[in-house]
Amino acid sequence: MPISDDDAIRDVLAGNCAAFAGLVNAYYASCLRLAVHLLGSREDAEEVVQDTFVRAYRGLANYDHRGHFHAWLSSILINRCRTRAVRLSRTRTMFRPEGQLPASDETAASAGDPVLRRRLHEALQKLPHRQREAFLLKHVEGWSYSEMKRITRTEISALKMRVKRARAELRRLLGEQDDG
Amino acid sequence: MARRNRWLERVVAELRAPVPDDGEGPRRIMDAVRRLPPPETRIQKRRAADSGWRWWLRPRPIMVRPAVAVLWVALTMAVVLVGSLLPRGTAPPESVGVGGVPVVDFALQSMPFVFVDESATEVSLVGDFNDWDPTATLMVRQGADGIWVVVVPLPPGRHVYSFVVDGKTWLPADGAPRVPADEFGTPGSVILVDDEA
Repeated sequence: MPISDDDAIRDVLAGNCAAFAGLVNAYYASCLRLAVHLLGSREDAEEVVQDTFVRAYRGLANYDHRGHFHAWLSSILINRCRTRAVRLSRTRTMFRPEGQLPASDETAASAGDPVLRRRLHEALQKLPHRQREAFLLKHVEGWSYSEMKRITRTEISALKMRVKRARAELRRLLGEQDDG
Repeated sequence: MARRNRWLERVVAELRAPVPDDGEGPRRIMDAVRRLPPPETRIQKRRAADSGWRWWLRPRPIMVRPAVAVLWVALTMAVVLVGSLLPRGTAPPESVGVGGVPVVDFALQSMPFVFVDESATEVSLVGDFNDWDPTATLMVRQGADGIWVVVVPLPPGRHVYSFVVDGKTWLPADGAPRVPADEFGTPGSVILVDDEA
């Protein structure tokens, strides 16, 4: 029987370091996916996700959001991605030309539409970081606006505006008709 | 509306596809975590940082109610103001220090010295208090009766002194206890200064 996040955290704080593996296994995939989409690089995403879990472990004694470990973890990840994105923007353009995009099989395992996938990743990297972040949290990760407010420490009205603009810009970049 | 939803659904489905993972990521994370010390609360960290002498060096906020702060400032100003208005006590004797700057010593007592010699043109007081220097303490002639006076601040204790007339004749004081002439044949008188002369 799987144990809850809070039980796992209690075990870790009681000295059972191995209990943290349950949390890592539960959330690693979604963290990696979000980081890859935010940073556009598998390598950077893996580093950021590892840093996120290490920071979460070190700060676990101060975790007081009972029942919201995933949101707490996501807020750490979002901050680490923001920091990494700023650093990357100083060394290279966030937009990768098509030839430098991560290979499709690096980012998605599903059979899906490989053409759409490539165009989509390219378009996603053209969005401003905060718009991309809001769009992914809302539509891909499925957070509510109130949870997004907690994760990003941004007002709901601003988040809604970013999501709306991100959708419109993605639609434009992908050549879709803007039908509202 | 239906078209927009289909577009978004396709995009989201594509983005929700899991990123392939060979399991190395979680393993690396757990390797890193196992090397870390157990999680510490902020209180534990603060206690560790505050141990010993570091407590005195760590900056810390002080919580003060604005009303209390204003009261303390007003009280301090009142104390300073009242202190400046209080009458001053009798000034202690002053002596002349290096470069003529007055040196106030609260242990000194003002001691008057009197010498009588109508024919003298210059009289000075010498003693162990001015290194027997005839030019250090000149006496002042009072009127035409040949009375020479000077007031010298002296610390409590026993002092030996003499008068020097016209820069060459060393004379003891009349009526004062005397000490034997020193190796130069100089006569000396003795004065005792009490704590409260």
